[in-house]
Amino acid sequence: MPDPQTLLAEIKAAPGIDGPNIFPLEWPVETPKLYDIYDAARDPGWSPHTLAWDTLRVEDYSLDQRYAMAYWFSLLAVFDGSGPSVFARAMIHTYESKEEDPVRKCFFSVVRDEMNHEEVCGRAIKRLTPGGPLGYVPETPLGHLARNNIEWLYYNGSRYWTGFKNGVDKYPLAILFTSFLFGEVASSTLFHGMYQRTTIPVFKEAFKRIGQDEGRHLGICLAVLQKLLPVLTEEDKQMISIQLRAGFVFLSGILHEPPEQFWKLPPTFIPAQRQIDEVARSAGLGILTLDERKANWKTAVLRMKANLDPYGIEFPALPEVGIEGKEVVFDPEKVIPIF
Amino acid sequence: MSRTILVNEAIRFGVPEGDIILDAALSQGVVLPHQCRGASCGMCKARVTQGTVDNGWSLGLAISDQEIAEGFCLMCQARPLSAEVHLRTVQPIPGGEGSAVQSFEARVLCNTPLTPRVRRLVLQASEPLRFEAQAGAYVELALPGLSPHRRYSLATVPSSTGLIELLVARHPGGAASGHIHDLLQPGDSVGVTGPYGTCRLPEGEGTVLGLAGGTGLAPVLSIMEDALAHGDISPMTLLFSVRDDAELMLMDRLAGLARAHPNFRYALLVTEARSRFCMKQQYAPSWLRENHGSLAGARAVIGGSPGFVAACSDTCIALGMESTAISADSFTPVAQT
Repeated sequence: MPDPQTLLAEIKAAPGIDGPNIFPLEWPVETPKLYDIYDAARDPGWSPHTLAWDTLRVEDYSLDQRYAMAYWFSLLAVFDGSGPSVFARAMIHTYESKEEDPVRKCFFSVVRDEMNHEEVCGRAIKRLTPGGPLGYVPETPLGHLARNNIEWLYYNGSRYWTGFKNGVDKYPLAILFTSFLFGEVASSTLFHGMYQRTTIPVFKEAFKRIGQDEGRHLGICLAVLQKLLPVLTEEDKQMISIQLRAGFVFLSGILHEPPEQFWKLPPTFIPAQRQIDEVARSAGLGILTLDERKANWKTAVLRMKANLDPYGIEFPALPEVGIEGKEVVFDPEKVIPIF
Repeated sequence: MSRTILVNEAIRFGVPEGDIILDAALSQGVVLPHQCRGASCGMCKARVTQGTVDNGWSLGLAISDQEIAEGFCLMCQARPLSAEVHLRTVQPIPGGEGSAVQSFEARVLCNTPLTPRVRRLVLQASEPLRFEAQAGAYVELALPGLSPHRRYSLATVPSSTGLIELLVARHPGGAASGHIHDLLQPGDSVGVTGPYGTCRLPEGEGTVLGLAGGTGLAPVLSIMEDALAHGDISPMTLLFSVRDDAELMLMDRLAGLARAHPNFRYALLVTEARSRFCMKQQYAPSWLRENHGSLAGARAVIGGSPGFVAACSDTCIALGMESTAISADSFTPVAQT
C-alpha cells in the first residue's frame, strides 16, 4: 500500500464546478432561529390519515352538497396540491444557490407539510365523490357545473405551474420569500376563517391543523425576511412590488374571486362557483361569504403592507379590494406565489 | 443597548436593541411558551404590565386589535421599546413547576365503570418516577397495536403518589376506548406521555364557571378542585351536562366539594331525557342565558366535545365574558387504526 505522503505528492486538483449546482456540499448557518423552527417542525403533531374521516357520513348530505364540498376541496387543492411540487422545486433551488442549511431544511419541512395538506384535500374529495375530482359522472346539473369549473381550474393551475417554473430559478431569496410570505398570509387567513366557521368535526380539526402548519411557515418566511429586507437593492424592491401584485391576483382565486389578469375562465365560471359556494356553505363546510372573504383578504393584505412599508417596498395598487398603491405591470410568466 | 425583560416577575433576561423578545430569550436558553413563531398560534401571547413594546407583525389571527389595545403582545414579534418591560404570559411557561413532559410505563390499578359508557381508569406511574402535572393537563396513552396514541384529560391532579386518574368514554367503534373498556385489566402496563395541554383556570378574581359536557368533567373538575384546595375563594359554579341520568358520574366528589367549600356549587343538566335531577331538559347555552344576565368579569373553564365547547364559549362571550377569560379542553375521537 503506498505511503499517504507519496500519494499526496501525486494528487491532482478536482475540476471546478459551474453553478448553479448542488455540489460542493456544505452546511452554513446564518440564521439559527430557522434551525429552531425546523426542530419544532420535525413532528407536526398530526397526520391526515389519523383524522376522524369515519365521522364524515356522506349519506348525511345531498348529492349537490357532496359535489359542492368536493369542488371546494378541488379549488383548495389547486393551491395546496401544488405546494409539494412548488416547494420541492424551490428546495432544489436553495441547494443550487447555496442557501444556508436551515433555509434548505425549512423548505423540506414545508414540502412535508404541504404533502399533508394536499392529502387532506384528496381524502375529502375521494370520500365525497368517489372517483373524484374528475373520474365520476355527476348526477345533477350543479355537479356538472362543478366538474367543468374544476377542469378550468386545472387548466389555470397548469399555466401557473409554467409561470412558476420560469420564475423560480431567476429570483434571489428575498423575492421568493416575499412571494411565499404572501401565500402563507393568504393560507393562514383562509384556514383560520374556515376553521372558525365549519361545523363538520373532521374538517374543523383539519383546518385547525393546517392553519397551525401555515402559521409555522409564516414564521419561517418572517425569519428569513427579517434578515433580508433591510439589505434589499432598489431592483429587488421593484421586483417585489411586481411579485406582490402577481401574488394578489393568483391568490385571489381562492381568497376572494379569480380576477381576469391571470385567470382565463369562461363566463359561466364565477356564477357557477357562487352557487356551489352557497350549497357547500349549507352543508357546513365553513366557506365565508364573498363579502366576508373580501374583507378578510383586504385586512390581511393591509397588514402585510404595513410590515413591508418600512423597508421602502412600494405596495402595488390592489383596486379589487380598495387598496391604492403603485401601478405595476402584471406578467403571468413570472408568477411565484403559492400557499 | 440592551433592554431588560422580566417575565411573570420571575424570569429576567436582556434583549439587544431591535431584537425580538422571544428570539432573544431562546438564544439565551430562556424557555418561554411558543409554537409557530409566525404570529399565528397565540401560544406566546403576553400582557405588558410595565414598559412598552413595538408589536411588530400580526395578521390578527392570534391577537386581536382589541387585545393589543388592552396591552397584550405576541412575544414572537414584539420588540421592547422601553429600558425595562414586564410581561405576564397567558400560557404557562414550559418546564415550569409540574409541566415537564415525561414518557413512562404505568400499571393499571383500577378500571371500573362509572356509567354504562364511561370507565374510571387509574394508573400508577412506575417507580421511582414522580409524575406531576397542573390541573387541566392531559396525557397520551400508548395502547398495544393502536396508533396514534390516545389523549385523555386528567381527572385529578397527580400528587407525589404518581396516581393518574382518567375518565374514558366508549366511542362507537373506537379502537382505543374499546380496548380500555373490554380488555385492559388491573396489572396491565400502558405507556404514558405527558403532561400536555394548556387548559388552566384563567387568571383573575371574578366568578368562575366550570362548564362540563360528559367526560369533559375531568379537566373542569380537576381545575376547580385544585383551585379550591389552594384556597381560591372566588365564587365557583360547575355545570355538568349529560344526555340522561345514567350518564351522571362522580356525584360524590361534586357533593363533597359543595359541602367543604361554601364558594362552590354545582348544577346538573340533562339534555335528552326526563330527569330526577333537573326540572327540564335544557342545553348549557340556554342554562347560561337563564341564570346569568351578564358574565362580564367572570371566567370560565369549559370541557367537552367541540360542539359543546364552541356553543358554551360563544354564549359566554355573548353574555359579556372576555375571550381571554375562557379556557377550554375540547376532545374529538380519533380515527381507528
